[in-house]
Amino acid sequence: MPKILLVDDEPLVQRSMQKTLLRAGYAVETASNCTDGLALFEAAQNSPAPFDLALLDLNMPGFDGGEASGAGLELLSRLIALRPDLPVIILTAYDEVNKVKDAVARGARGYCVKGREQTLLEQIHAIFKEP
Amino acid sequence: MTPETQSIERRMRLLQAANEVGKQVTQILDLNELLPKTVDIICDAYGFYYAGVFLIDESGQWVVLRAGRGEAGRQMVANGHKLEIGGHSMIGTCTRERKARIALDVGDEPVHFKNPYLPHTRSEMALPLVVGEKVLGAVTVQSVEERAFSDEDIITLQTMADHLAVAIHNAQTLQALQRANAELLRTKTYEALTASTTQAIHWIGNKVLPITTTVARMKAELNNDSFDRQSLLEDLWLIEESARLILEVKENLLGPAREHKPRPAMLADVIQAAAVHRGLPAGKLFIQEIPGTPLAWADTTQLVRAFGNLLCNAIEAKARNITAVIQPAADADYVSVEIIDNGEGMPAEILEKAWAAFVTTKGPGHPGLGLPAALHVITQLHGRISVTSQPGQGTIFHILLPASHDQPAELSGGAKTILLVDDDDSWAQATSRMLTAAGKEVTRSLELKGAPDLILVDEALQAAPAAEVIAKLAAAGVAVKTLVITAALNVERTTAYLKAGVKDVLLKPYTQTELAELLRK
Repeated sequence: MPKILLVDDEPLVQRSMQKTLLRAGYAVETASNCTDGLALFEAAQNSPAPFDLALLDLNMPGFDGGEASGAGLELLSRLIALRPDLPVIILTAYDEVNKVKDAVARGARGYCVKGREQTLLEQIHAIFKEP
Repeated sequence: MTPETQSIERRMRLLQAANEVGKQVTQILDLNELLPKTVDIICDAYGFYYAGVFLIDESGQWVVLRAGRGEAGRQMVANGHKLEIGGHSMIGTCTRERKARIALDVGDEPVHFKNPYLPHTRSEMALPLVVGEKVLGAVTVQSVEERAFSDEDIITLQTMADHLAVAIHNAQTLQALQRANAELLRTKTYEALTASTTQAIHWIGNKVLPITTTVARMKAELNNDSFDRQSLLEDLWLIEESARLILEVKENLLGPAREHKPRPAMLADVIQAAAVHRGLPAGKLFIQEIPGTPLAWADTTQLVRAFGNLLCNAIEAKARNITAVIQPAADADYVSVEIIDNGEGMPAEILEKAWAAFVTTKGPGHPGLGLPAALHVITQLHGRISVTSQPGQGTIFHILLPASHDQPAELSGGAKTILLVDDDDSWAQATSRMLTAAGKEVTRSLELKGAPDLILVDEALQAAPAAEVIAKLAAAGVAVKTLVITAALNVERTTAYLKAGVKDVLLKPYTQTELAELLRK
């Protein structure tokens, strides 16, 4: 069962996404800020069951604890540094094309605007189907 | 020279100086700038040691020094120097009596108090500042010469003071008007904000209500031993639909408010892009552009949103077809667009409310934000939009957008051979012409031909889905040479193209300058 790390600071969004992913047959662990997200990932990385994919909110508390626009991008870079082939999808409430370009340049595999998340499961399935 | 001619000459000189002061002070309309400059203008014109302007304060009991010449004046203003109206000072008396006063050899003048800031004053004149029936204050002029002023000088110097009074009065009136206008604007903005916020919250509240009531119903039903599957599915649909409407409101309210980055825009192409993005059936839209129409100055992503709303509006009004006419406006600084449909049209009472948010004729499934969002976008771009409609005949939207006049730029650098993947529309033709004229080899095709240095793919392709074309180019290994160009950037599509390996996704160039920039990438 593929294991997904979900980091989002909105409790309702986080829980709802988690349920969707659980239903779809994935194992899901959650965090509400960059620091906790990275800690979870690092712990799993050194265990027999590392994460297979990460879903990161774009705007959430950053590593310094303050709410930061684009904090998810920093976590993205830290995760990719730990595991270059990790598939990461960025979640956001805003259409910001420059953020997309930044995210893809940092190694993100997908980008999903909240409220249009019908495509999210398709994106995840497609990633796990890749050879 | 006889004493008589001397006296005439002196009067002439003083009158000239009065005119000079009058000419200069009436040009300054900002009170904060006028007063400090005035004292310098007076001293320079007459060669006085000091000049100061006093204005009556709000209490009407004091005249307050508002500007004074030099360091002495600056210090007195800073100390809040003021004199009682009708008190023992020359200025106080002059203001109350509206009459000029002269003191010579000031140290001996009984009504004057020696001023430590101005130790060299030997003569002083105080002149009332009067406009019509209203006294504004007084001006003091001082000289180091003994007996510098005579009674005869009063007339000419009062002329100067009258000019000054008019200038001060004008500046005060303007200041009061500006203050009133700012106050009105604040009030109106607040009212508009409150009204629209209240309306939006009310509307969203109405859409949230079914969610909470449906959830309560579902919980109750699920607690029963048996439940109606069909009814539960319908309940879920209710929740889904409510959420969709709320998200649509978010998009329509926040979308147009996002930052605008205006640039030269080819309106025919922008309208074409709007039609493709909104999935308009082929053959519905006809675009007519009068040759020689200048480009518009607009944010194309926002404009695609606005035109998309207008096109959807026409389709929802059951238009059989839609014509967009683009031409130079009567005012050469604008471009005119008309979106003409032959749909149901709108009766006058609906037309009046068409621009208001949350007004719709299309039932509760529509938030009624399409036209207000279009209005917002076009107003932000300093354009204008209006509508005329005939029930049963159709509707015409008239839009004026600022024109952009671009200078041709150097295109010779960068890629030599270019593959242009686009429909045969006015943008493709114009771009192809510009590139060919600059010595580029341009191939127009829907698929890879030869080995081009650069491939440009128009995202709003009608002949084939852009995503398919890009996938084929990627399979052929030329994605790294491919730029996807679009009138309106969108995050999901941009991600997909970038993941397919294209070099970049960029706003479509409409001018030679933008094209040159793109070729340099």
